[in-house]
Amino acid sequence: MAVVTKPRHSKLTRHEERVALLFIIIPIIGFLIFTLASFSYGFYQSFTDFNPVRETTTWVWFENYTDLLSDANFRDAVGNTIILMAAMPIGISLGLLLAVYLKNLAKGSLLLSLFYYLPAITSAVAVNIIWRYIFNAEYGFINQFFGLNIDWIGIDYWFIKIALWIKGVWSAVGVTMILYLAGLNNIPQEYYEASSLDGAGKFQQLLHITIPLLNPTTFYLVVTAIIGGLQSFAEAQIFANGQKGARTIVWYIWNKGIYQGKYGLASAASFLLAAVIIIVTIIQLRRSKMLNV
Amino acid sequence: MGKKIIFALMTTAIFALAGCASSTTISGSDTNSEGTTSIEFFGWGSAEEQENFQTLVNSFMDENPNIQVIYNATSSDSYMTTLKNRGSSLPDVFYMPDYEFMQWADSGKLYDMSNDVTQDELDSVWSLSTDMYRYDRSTSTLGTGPLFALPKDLGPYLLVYNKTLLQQIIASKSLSLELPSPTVPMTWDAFRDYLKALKTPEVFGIGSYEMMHAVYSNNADYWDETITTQTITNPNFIQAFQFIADLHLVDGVMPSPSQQNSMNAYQRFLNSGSLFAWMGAWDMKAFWNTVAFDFDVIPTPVGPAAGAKSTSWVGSVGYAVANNSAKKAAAMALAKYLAFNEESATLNYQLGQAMPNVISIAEGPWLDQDGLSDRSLMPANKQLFIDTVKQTTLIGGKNRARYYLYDNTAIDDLEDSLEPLFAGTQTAQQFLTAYASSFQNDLDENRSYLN
Repeated sequence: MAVVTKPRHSKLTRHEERVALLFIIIPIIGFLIFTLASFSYGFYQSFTDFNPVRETTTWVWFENYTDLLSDANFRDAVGNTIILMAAMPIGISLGLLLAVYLKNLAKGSLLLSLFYYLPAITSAVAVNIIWRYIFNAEYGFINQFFGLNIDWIGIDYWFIKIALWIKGVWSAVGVTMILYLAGLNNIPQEYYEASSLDGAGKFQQLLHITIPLLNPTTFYLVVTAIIGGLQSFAEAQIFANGQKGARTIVWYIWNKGIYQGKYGLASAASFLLAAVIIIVTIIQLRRSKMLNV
Repeated sequence: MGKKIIFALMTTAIFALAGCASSTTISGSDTNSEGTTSIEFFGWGSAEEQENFQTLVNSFMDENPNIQVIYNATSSDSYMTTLKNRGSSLPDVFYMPDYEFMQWADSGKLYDMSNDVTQDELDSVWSLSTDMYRYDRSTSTLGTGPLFALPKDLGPYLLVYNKTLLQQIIASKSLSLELPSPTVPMTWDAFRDYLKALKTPEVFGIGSYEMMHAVYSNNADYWDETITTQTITNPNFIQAFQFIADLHLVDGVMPSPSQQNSMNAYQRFLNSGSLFAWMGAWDMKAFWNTVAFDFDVIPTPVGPAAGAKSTSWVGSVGYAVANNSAKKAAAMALAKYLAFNEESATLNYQLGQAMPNVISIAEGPWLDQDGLSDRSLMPANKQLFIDTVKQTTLIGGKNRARYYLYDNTAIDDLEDSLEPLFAGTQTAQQFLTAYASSFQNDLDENRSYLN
């Protein structure tokens, strides 16, 4: 029977390892304190009713979780978050079409790419404030230009969501386009030439060459879009000023934790959200393996 | 090479830790080598308010050269969160808003200053403002027991109108209306008629209507005397809510909830988009400097219920001292200076910061407009602020609803649920009857914190 022995490092290698460890020790300490410890404390707090003023903590088992599930506001926030993510496929599809169009454009593609990418590099707060003006019922550009009288950011359940979909697509299309453009540049031109000789049209090329070969990019975009959508906050707070129809899960967490000081409930909501994000990501990773992405 | 790097990193770490240790030692001492006590004073406010307070603090330090005050302020939105997150490391002196007072007084984190204040000092300021900061922890009763804060200000929230715009509309429409009475409250019906007559396509009558003003001025309240049983299904309460809803739904003199969301009542008033709004004394400086129109205040309209009296809510912020402060004497000196000092009270009103706390200053120089000129003479009806605090037969003032609660969820949730009423899909009767059990649950939860 062969005996496996651990390779013995030289003195120099051990020295280098120790020095290397010193270099990474600060980020590791940062991770332990600001990520792992905070995460663990938050998880613990989700089972307590911590009172920040009294600084008292009582163990309440799953009470925060059951309170959450019976809270209509939380259920509404979950519903809003999911509905608001419905614009995601539109943003991704438009980004893809735009990338294909720009790839085939002889002149001005760089300038147009920069133009379309602008939303991605603009502050989320500024974007939300500007769109808030655009959708304002009294003096907003959309109502004025189209002669409408729609209360976009009002109490109507659907108008506010339509407004957020439009804004969401506008915000997402730039990043999507840039990533797809990078992906398109990696597809060998020979595939298109060969398919042309076989009589394939532009649409067939898009369907059978471009889209399948862009699967890794699409996978990345879908995963990040779902995670980003589940973590959406600025739209609810800045664009919609906390209107009910736009309140998301993270807005609910902020409101309970920061505004109302109910840290236990907010922590429970955070962990439910984290669990959902982890599960969704695992499912997507498995699907990606199945699809060989 | 490796040893040198390790040595350099360790040396840096040791110096860094030593630096932390020495700075802690200095901040932890009561007085420094020069005999000066350093205290931290934490508040909130706009840049203007911070500037005003730095002036007051400088004035205090001039009079008390042995005390150094480090004044810090944040925005009002993040103030309470910052304070809560400081845990036990509280500033020596800090703002305590009335709507958070009960929770903090109950926690034991506020210093009982009953023995540091003389009766003469208490008598020199409005009793409403000092009684507000008393709390009996053994019975969880407000308004009695030890004193846990001194009043920074006492602010009746009054109905203000744009005098210039009002006169313009009256002239342009050739109406036979007069300016509203500064002393006699209008009835709700008279107020509605007044706004309807003045309404124009560009200008709303009022930007929003304060719920507590309507409820209090119709002889109603949110709960019984023990704050344990809801009274929102009381007919007077229902009538008050319907009155507000009708201002938009029936008369069209108030913006819809969505319009209010897109532009709040305060901003709409500043933009001359409404004739009436609500103001506290703390708004004076902004009104002097931000707008060009003339303005004045009038009593809150009174409802039709038996025994109803024009009543506005009166807000306040106190100066609290941390119970674990090592520098209570210096902290109390600052709190007392800011609350009782006549010079401070004078400076406060001249800066447009607040109605004077000190009665003799409020009823003397402030009413006489001493040291004020041009726009700072407004509002002319300063007597109304005093009447609201002192309570007359026609005019009253009362703490806002949140003051009475340990946990504000009951009011937050109620205000958050009003859409069906203001959208007109439910009457006040239908809405409040349906909502009563939720409100009662919130009240029960509020009570559970005190058991």
